[in-house]
Amino acid sequence: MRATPLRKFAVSGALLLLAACAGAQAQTANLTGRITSAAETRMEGVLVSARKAGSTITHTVVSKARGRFDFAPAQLAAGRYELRIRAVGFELDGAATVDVPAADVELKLRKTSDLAAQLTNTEWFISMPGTAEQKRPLIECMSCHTFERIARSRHDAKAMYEVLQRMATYAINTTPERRQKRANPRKFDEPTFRRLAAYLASINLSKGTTWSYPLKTLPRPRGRATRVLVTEYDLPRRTIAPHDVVTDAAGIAWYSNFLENTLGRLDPRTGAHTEFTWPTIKKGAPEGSLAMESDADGNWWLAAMFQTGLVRFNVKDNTFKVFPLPADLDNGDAQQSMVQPRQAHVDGKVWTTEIGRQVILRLDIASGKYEMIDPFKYMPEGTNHSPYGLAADDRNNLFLMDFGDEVIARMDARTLQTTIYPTSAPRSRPRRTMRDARGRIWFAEYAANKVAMFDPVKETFREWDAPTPFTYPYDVFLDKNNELWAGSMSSDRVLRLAPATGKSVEYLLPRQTNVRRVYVDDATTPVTFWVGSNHGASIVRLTPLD
Amino acid sequence: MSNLKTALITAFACCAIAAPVARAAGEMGEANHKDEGIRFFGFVKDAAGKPVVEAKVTAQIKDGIKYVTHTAKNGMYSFGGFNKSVKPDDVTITCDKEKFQQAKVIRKTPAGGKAVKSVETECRMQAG
Repeated sequence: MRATPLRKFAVSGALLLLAACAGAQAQTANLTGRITSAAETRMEGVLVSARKAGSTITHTVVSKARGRFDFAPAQLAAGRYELRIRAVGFELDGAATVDVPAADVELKLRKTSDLAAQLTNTEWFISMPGTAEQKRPLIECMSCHTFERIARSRHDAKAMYEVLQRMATYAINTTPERRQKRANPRKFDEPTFRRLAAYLASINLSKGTTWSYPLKTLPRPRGRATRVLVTEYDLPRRTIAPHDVVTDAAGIAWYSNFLENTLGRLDPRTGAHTEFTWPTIKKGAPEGSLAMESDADGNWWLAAMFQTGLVRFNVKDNTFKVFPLPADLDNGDAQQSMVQPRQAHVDGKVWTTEIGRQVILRLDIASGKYEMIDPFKYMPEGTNHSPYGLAADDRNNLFLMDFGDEVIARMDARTLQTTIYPTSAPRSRPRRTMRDARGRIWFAEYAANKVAMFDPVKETFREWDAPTPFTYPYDVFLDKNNELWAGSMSSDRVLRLAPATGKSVEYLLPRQTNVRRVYVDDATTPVTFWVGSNHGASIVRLTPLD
Repeated sequence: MSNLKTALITAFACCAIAAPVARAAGEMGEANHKDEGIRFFGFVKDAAGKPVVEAKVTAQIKDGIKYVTHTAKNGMYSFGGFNKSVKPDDVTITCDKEKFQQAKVIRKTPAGGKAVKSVETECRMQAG
């Protein structure tokens, strides 16, 4: 999905901007207005985004029940702003700039002529005909690109099969902005690929100039879902793919870059952005890191993906230390996706994953040596297992998610004995996780479209459905108010759910936002929710206004 | 459609598809239970033979790896299956529930033997 673009400073006669009170006091510098269209005179749930000329920061509010929007929570500075909107099915009736302060600005919308360009992956899932099993493999695709690419393609089944073969040669840390080849192509099952290729050729444009099925859309935000402020911080290169975003004690946002060997730092008060480049570990291998976690000293640890090994950033002197894999582990498939150093002060050990072998590794920081533990050694042959999200308890016992299958596991730090717990939902593919202050393990059941909690004392699960089908939550975070937050690569929506009541609200994000790690800063009031736009090169902060 | 858009669509940046291969490299992929060894299933019942709901059932393999699940409303449990290195006698089934004690575990499928594909147990519990 693309947000409606605005050309810089372009002024269109088709857009009516009525700045009735443009002479307001500079220090108030507010922007208010209303959204209208020929189809709806008062449009609720339209996201209105404003970016000051020359700034990297975009503020977004949502129109309320009477179609009115108010940027007061954004505390805009006076100046000229570019405006854009998001309301599926609509676009701005011309480009828009406005001098702030301004009041009662009327933004007129018109029906879009290219609805397909606005659909989220979730809306493509809902629109496309086919069985759940036919659609299921597509959940892999959105890690790298949107479904719009698939839907607009003209490949027949044979050509599509060749495309899928090519996809198997790319590293998972690939986006449209940067393609990275694996050292060894991923093995694939030909009948599975043939079936998928035939299905994709049945839903794309290989047989006509338009789709044979209606394009369905999700409803716009209403009520509580409109009470939100979203702030986006654009990063300086499209090849910066923020994966994990976490704030430190000072409120500074740090992020891992999925496509490049950099660690990023963003001051949300000023928008100041700094990058720290970590050394190349494996020349020629795909670059970038995935998980980023802090240890008890506030230092950042990065899982170095196909560069392999772990990287620690010392926040006191801004230096990196690399913990390389030993040669016998470091083959072409070696890949460290996750790292968990939070309790390393207990025993000097840091947990990580080795995706190539589908095992857990544990680093002894002092010696730099890794030990390998296989929690899946008794799983049936022919099954895929992929250790993914990691959490550690106060004794540095590990909880790991098996993204390939339907179990989570606990690994004892002292004995390394493993206990495996099948999730209640079958084929759930547990993904990222976090441990709350009460020791409970919260995690996303990616393929089951659920969020879940594991109680290590009772050894039982609880699950909650994501309210929108085909959301495929990637990660969860339980905040200080015992509300659970989740995001996904599919829906462009942030889920806020009260586990005690099951009540939830979904906040639509202003742009196509491929969400990975979700994080909530509990130090602010209200709490603030942070994610990276993995394909959009921006950091996103969401502030609920209730 | 612009040339740029056409090029992008044709290119397909990446679509890493599930590849059901045995312990294969890569973080993506669906489970495909196509080559399983022994499976364990069964029931947890009280002294009167009634099902015990939400009882914890543990399958302990010789070297220490444990699988833990809970019984359903009919008192039934099952484990998804182990690989062929696990023999029936390698696995010990136990059950646990608050305010109950395990009385005995009855193995209904004969232990050992090449033909054994699944093992059924009945775990009997008594209050106390």
